[in-house]
Amino acid sequence: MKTSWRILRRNPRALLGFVILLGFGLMATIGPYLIKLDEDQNFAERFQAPSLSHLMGTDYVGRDVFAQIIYGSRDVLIVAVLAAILTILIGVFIGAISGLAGGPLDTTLMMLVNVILTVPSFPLMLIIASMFKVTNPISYALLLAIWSWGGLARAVRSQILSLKKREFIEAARVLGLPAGHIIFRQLLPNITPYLAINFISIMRHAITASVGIMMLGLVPYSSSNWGMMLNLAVFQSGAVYTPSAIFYLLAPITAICLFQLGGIFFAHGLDELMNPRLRS
Amino acid sequence: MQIIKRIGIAVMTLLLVTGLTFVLVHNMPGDVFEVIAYRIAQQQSITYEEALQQARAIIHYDPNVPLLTQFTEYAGGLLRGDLGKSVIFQQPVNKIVAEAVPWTVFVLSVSLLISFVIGTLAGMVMAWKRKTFLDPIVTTISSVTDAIPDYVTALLLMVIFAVNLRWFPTKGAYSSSTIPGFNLPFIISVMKHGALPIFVYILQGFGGWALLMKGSAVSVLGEDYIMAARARGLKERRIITNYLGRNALLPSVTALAMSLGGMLGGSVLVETVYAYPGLGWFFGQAVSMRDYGLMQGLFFLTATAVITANLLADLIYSRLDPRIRTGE
Amino acid sequence: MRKTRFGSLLMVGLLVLSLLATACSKTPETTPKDSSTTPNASAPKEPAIFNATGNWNVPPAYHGNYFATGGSSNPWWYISEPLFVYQPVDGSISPRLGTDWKEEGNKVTVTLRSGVTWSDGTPFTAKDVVANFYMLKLLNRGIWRYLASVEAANDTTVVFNFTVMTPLAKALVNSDPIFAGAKEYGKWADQVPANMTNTEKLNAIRTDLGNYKPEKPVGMGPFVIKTVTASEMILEKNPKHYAADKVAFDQVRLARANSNETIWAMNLAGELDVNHAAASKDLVDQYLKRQTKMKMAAPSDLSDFGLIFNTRKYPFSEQKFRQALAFVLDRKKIREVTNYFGADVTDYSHGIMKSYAGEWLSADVLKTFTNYTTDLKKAEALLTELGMKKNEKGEWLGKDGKPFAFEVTFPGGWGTNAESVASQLKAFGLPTKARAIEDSLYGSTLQAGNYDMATEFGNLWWGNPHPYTGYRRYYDTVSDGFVAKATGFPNVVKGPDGKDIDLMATTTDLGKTADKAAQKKLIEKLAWVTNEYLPLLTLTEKNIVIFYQDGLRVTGWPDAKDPIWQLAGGSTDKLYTTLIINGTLKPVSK
Repeated sequence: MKTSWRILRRNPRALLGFVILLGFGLMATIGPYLIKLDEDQNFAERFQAPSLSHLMGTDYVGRDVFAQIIYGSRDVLIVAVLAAILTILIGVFIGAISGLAGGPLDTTLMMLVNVILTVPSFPLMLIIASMFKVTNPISYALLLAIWSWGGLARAVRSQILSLKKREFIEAARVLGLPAGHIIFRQLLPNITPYLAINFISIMRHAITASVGIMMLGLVPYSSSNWGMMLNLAVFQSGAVYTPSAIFYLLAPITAICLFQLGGIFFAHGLDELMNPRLRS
Repeated sequence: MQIIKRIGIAVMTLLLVTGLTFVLVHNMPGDVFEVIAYRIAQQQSITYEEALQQARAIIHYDPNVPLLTQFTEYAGGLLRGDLGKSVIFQQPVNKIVAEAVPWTVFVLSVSLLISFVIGTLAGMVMAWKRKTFLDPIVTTISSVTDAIPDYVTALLLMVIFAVNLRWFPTKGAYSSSTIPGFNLPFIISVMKHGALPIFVYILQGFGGWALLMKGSAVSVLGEDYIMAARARGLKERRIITNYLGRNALLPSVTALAMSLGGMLGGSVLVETVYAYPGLGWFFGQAVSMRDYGLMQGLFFLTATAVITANLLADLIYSRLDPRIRTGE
Repeated sequence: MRKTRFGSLLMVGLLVLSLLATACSKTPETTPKDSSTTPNASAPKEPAIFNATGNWNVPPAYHGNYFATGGSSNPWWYISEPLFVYQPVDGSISPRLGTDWKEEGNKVTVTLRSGVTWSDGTPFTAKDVVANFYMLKLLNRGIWRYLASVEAANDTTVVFNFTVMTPLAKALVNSDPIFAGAKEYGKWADQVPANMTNTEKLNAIRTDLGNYKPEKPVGMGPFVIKTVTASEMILEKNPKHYAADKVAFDQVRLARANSNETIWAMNLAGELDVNHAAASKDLVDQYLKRQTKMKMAAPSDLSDFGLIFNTRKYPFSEQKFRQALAFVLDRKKIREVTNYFGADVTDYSHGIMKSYAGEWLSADVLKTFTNYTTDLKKAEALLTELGMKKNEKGEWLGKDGKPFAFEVTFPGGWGTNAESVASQLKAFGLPTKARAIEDSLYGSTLQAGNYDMATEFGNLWWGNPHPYTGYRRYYDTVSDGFVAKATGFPNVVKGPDGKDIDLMATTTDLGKTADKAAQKKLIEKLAWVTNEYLPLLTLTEKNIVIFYQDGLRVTGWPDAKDPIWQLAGGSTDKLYTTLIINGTLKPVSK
């Protein structure tokens, strides 16, 4: 823990990433309690520039954009975190079974992974999105996770294959320790760092995909979601072509990009932390 | 032997993908007739109910044929090289694909090659001289472009360069005042229309190539043979071209081959933003209009491309990497 | 490493700045000189071009058969002609291919203009008209509900035999241009009369017809299609057209308008002479600031937006609850937010297009109707009558003592209406969320009754502007009845006189009544039921906002108040081509 902090402190970029992510986390958890989301529409106050009363200006019907970003962050982050957890659970489960079991089960599962990796995921998600009613973060996260675990499963499998050959696992086997012990005490701790880095990148991809799908107007279950804000701004209210609406348009874009940057920076930091070779 | 096994796996994967997408596509809720009816109602200014009747009258698609019958028909067609028929356009999918593929391939191959060359060179320099000014710049650019989803980049570029500055057109593949063919006005028009999508893909891809190259070059630099070469006092140029370049390029070349295969499927959002009539645009149309035939055909096409590219990448890899060639 | 952070901040900053700069920068106030669509002034004999929009199927799917999928997306009004032009404002017709219209009993006799030829040189005769209408039978067009047969008495006389003289006859016969001629489509059209009720045979003809994909359509209109691409279509003047001497344009260039944003950009740049892409107030302000010669006219689109209630479900099953919602909603505010250039409907919701209501409902009749001008007190009183109470949070509780949680369903890209409704209901203490449903699922979701409230078109009078068209959509579940099917509203209710009224039968009667006074009687009943029972609350009437450049490249546009703009309802191309053929529109002389 101490070393992590030291490394983090020595790497300002990772620190910045950490601070950004922390900020988003706070925004999503505490933000909605501090700020009220006023949904009342007032046409005369539309597309206002940032001011003290509206920190990020107002949207196409005069509602506070800042409050929408805050409420949206909860939505977006919950979906992203859930999607990442689900993806990792499925990926690790399939990858581990495949790697540990070997034989025909391994071949079958890897064939499945091949299929998943072969079919273009975005159009497929569009199709799956139409097949079940997405009304809450959990179903949305499932939608995002269901076709995204292929690469992870493959990577986990190869990690496990290489770990299997290491001395300490061999030793545990020879000692006759139960399989559960080997998996949970020996294997998982060894791939945790790898998963931690992946968690962040999966979350980033989940946000990109979720916002993209929503921007197309396909799964619009919440109107303050950043993707829905973009959809309204770009396709429905003409904000792209209205100069005074630039802040309304930029707010969700900046939020998405800032979060992604935070994720990238922090992941780099983590990478260096886990991978001493990269430390300069 | 190894190759035959690989090809076997590839064929098997393709079969599974075909079956799976067929089942998925045919279980989509929503009705192709309803979508068309709504359009017809507006286009022909008639009532919705009338339009629905008209849609049923003129579209030859019977959703009540058993799925298995439909699948055998479809699979039989595939064996004869027939990708099926589009319900909405009432055209063979082959014909639509033949029109759409050139645009997608043009934009993506140009951007892929440009971003690959620039990115790889930058990555190499970054790895060789870790303290140049290039490193922070490239890292930042790649982080930022990686952070902005491609559709957002596409929108931003369109707002800046097409809507406000008016340097490039906003939509389409070429201006129809030109005559398609090998003549200068047409080529210029194609270039102008393709510029923004190409730029989007370059921005998106460049950073990734640089980081990939940097990563593999850094690890190659740590290898003993480079140390040895340095110790032997070989010239920098020779080390870079003969030792570093050759070995560090491996992962990049493999990834390039895979990207070339994957490019047929991955551009729905960008092509939709620019209304660029490539495969991605048709894919988006097919999904939103519930065109089962077109969706199936496009899925099959992209899956085939991806699988072939992976196979090729495998082969290239074993060609370039002597360890794999001799081993196993 | 510090450099990196600084670099990244700099990049983000630059990105934002450049965006702001480009968005706020003053764009040239005059029109672009470099635009490729503006001909070079020095070139000799430059063509006079009319720049508008269309939305056709992109090649390779493009083809010229109206009766096969996608073919109807051709700009038919430019390349073909109707028999007459029907003016919905007063129900009058003016001659085009037809010169005389005579009604006798169930028979309409139309005399054709002589000397008209198709673009392939064939003369245009009564046989072509007959073929065209039998081809429409293959599309199950509504006119065949009333039509028994069409005959050619001689080369220039067509006789329409109606089974019953409908008030829509003039509108139905003239709602479209002629799509098919006997030479090209005769082999299909000729088979229809003998098989009018033989669905199997008709389907066989349709299948065969659907495979016919001519490269381009053949017409007899003022223009002929020359080139078609994914983004643009070029039409050239038809020198053989009967009014060619009045048509002042050598070319029509249509930009493909598959989305509004495409058109917004072109409007800002002044590339179009006319178009009707829906735009927000701010966007329009932008246009007018940048394009000093741009003007706008806003005739009715002949459609209105409404909020439909699922009357199968409590509390929407309660008439008083629906009325209460009508009193809650500030419909002017909804119009402002979602349909700025539309027309306000703030009082009644009787199912007749607001701008045409005066013709059918007198002030005396309207006195007996409930006026739903926003009144929260009345809404509260109605809810209290239903035994509902508010809790301490200010939310209304249902009969079971639980607060409500409603959804307003809306189709894909139309969220602004539903959002506005939801926010107003929520403020009143009826928690409501807006929820989108994909376009391709919308109709079936509503008809299956899987919703609480939904935004939908109320009236769709396109092509047939008459209250009958609207009530058919409301109540006639045999020929249309979308609203009745979606709301689950009962067919028989107590009428204004306390007696049972069969809504479907009354609507069908209306469709068979040619006498205007008798029509009014029936309409008054239907209007009262619609207004009091509220299966659908009309929110706002849609206007087509037409933006036209007057004096830039084209001149001669009529005054924005002129009733001729109303021709645009249903098809704007009908209006533009009429103005071109009349010789009203002319290129600006240089």
